[in-house]
Amino acid sequence: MISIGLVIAVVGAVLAALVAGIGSARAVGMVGEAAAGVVSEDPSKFSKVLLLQLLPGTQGLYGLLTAVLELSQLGVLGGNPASLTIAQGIAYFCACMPIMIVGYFSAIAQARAAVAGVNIVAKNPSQSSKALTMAAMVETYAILALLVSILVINGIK
Amino acid sequence: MMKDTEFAFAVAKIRSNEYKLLTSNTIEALISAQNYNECIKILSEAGYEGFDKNDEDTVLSERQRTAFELIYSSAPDKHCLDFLIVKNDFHNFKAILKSKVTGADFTKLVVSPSCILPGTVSKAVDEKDYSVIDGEFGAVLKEAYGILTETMDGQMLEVFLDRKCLEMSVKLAEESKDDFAATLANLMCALTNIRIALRCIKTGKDTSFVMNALADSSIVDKKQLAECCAVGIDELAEYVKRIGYNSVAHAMTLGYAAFEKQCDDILIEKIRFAKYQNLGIAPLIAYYFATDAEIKTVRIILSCKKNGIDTEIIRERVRELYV
Repeated sequence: MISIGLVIAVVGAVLAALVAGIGSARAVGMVGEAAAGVVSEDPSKFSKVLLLQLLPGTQGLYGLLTAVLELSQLGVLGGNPASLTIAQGIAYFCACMPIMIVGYFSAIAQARAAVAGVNIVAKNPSQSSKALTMAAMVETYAILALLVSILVINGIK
Repeated sequence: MMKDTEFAFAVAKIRSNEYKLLTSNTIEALISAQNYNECIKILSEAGYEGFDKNDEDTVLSERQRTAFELIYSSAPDKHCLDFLIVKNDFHNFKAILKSKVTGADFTKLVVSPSCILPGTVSKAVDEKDYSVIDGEFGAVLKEAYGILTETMDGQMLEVFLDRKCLEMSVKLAEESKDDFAATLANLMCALTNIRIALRCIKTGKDTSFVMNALADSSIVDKKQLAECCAVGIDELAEYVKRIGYNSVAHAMTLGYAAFEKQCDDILIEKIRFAKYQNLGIAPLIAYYFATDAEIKTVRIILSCKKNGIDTEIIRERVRELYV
């Protein structure tokens, strides 16, 4: 029988993948629009703007990674789900929150930085590495959130 | 109001074109050029194509049209730019109404893009059915037709339509709910009112004419401006200083060319913040004004070179650039 604790934990895992994924989808879409604007004028800049478009996609992957890790630990992936107390379920849910929330907002913030980078490439393609570096800085906080989520999931007995 | 993120494509497209705008180095080269032909050569190298000797008008108009076409085609919502193109509508109103009275062909006189198709305007005037045109535009057209047919005075028609054009531009900008658009439209309206007031002083127009010519503005008070006109330029400059446009007031005392330049420079100064905006409508509007200022500057330089005006005088007259 599936316990309430397990349901709470699974909801946490699903939301981690869902919210971070939505953030990344919105972000990649936004940068993609800007990139299309540049490529429509100068197709030779495609590779430079593509790198910038890829950057905010990572948060979605981090959400997925967290969800898979947690579901695997809970035995859901193996078809042998563990029985959890409500407290344990809430603990798993909380473990997912850093990447869920930080993932979403950092993706949007990174998209804005990447759009600014696309505009730099539009005017001055030789400065694309600087544009890339500035947008990549936002990634730090998504990685920190992923780290916390993984540490907490691994730490729950 | 649209989200600023919806302008991502348009802004990137505009940024890709901004490098084509003339830089201050090119403008300096134009000013220092020995003659008109050298200017044409510099302009051709800087991306102005299709110059025929002594016919810069076609090239400059085409450049302006292309710039606007670029902004208009990229914008996710065309209506947010209506406040800029409304002047084309009012130009078309004038051309069509006058052609109806004189029997001339208006098709070569109308300009695009416009909020209302010239054909629709012509049909509305022919059939006296102004309901086919969007409410406010229809009412203005009806009134303008009445003024022209009753007075047969082209100047009265021009004054009426120019005033309505300014008021409509402000209204459309405010309806777009974009602060930048509204601020610019109000600023344009105020500066044009000051321009009108100065011209009225120079041509000795009476207060009722001035009141009729000035548009309602949130920055300048029509009544006070008209009262200043009755006194003279010094009083007008004093009023302009009181409302915070010291540089315009100062330029007014230096001469008309300096005044016109200052009015244009204030607008460019206002749009400069858009250089650092990566989303939203501001970069699109800024590009429009930047192109406008550039073309005005090129026109001034070419005209001066044609007439052998001294380099220092040209330098005094060139506008500030956006890039």
